[in-house]
Amino acid sequence: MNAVLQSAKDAGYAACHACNKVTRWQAPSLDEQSRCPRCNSVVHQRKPDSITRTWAYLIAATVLYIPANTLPVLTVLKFGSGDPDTILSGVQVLFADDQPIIALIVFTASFVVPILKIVGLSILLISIQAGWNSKLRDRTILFRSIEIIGRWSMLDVLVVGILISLVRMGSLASVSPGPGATAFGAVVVLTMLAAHSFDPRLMWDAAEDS
Amino acid sequence: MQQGMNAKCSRCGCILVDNKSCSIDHSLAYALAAAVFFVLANIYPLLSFNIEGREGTCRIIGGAMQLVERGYWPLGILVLLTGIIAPLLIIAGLLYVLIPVCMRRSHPSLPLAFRILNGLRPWSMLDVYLLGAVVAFIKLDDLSETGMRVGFLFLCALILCVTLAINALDTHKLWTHLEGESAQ
Repeated sequence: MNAVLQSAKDAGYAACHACNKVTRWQAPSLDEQSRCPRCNSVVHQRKPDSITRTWAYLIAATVLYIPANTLPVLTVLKFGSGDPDTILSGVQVLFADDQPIIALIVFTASFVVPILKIVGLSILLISIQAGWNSKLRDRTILFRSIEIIGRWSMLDVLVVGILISLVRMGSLASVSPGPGATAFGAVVVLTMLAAHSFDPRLMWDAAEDS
Repeated sequence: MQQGMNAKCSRCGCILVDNKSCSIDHSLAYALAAAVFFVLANIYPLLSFNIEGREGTCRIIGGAMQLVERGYWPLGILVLLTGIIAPLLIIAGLLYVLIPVCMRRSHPSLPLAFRILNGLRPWSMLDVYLLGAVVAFIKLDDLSETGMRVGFLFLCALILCVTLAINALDTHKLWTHLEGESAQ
């Protein structure tokens, strides 16, 4: 750690979460929260209850990840026949249809990315709570990557939406959504909220304190 | 700081301030183009599907409406939010903030509008939607004849313009500008 570098928090400043304006930090009183003079959003030195909130979203996402993968997300019917597909069996169908690139994209976006987000954020949270002080830069980069790739796991939900509105020919061909899709959509939203409520500066704070 | 340079966090290396040239004019131009493509991408169908002489097409709003109709309303709302509402509010927000700034006018609601549009950015998933359309296209191709329609091109153009509008914008400069206006 570079001892010359003092954080804004230690120097008594706070940055606005919305517009990044740095202001002198005043602890909020009971009836008044401190607000950003530039954009009027509530200012905190660190995101409030970041660790608790992130854990809560992550646990909810982990629980829903099970029905998201075991229940069918959609059923494609041609001439009245067809089996319900889960996310993984959908990937297998794409592989069987000789579409390995698309199969890999779907597999990554729908299966790997949610796991990476849940495991990655859990490690980051544990690293704060255990007060690790190594690989701070790498861990911050890991967080930023999680934040950026997270939205791509919405892919399967959007594919279901496109397919059911495109294929509506009754007994000839039809596509219907399955309950797994709802669970899957919830996982995506919950992991995005988890990443949003995580404050990477806490890792640096924890490293300084330890 | 000189134009074209940026400032990085000394701890984690994240870009803090990116000093861009003529950012507001460029961003406004792209946002205006994005508004046009938004309308076109929502009017024209993206894909078509033919089976036994019958043809079906789909638009962005169709998927959301079908999900709601079949009882999957939380997913329908999610598709509506990520595919239509969030992009619409981002484009509208950019125009709402950048037009007065370009005309050197000010309004007390501009900081709030800019704050909302920044908060909505992760929820606009047109790029993911585009990939979804490609996946749907390939998935159906072995079932029967599937075609890309003109709406698909408009969606590509829309994504390009929104991305360019946001990337061209120097948020630090704009916030400083908005702050200066409100202080007067």
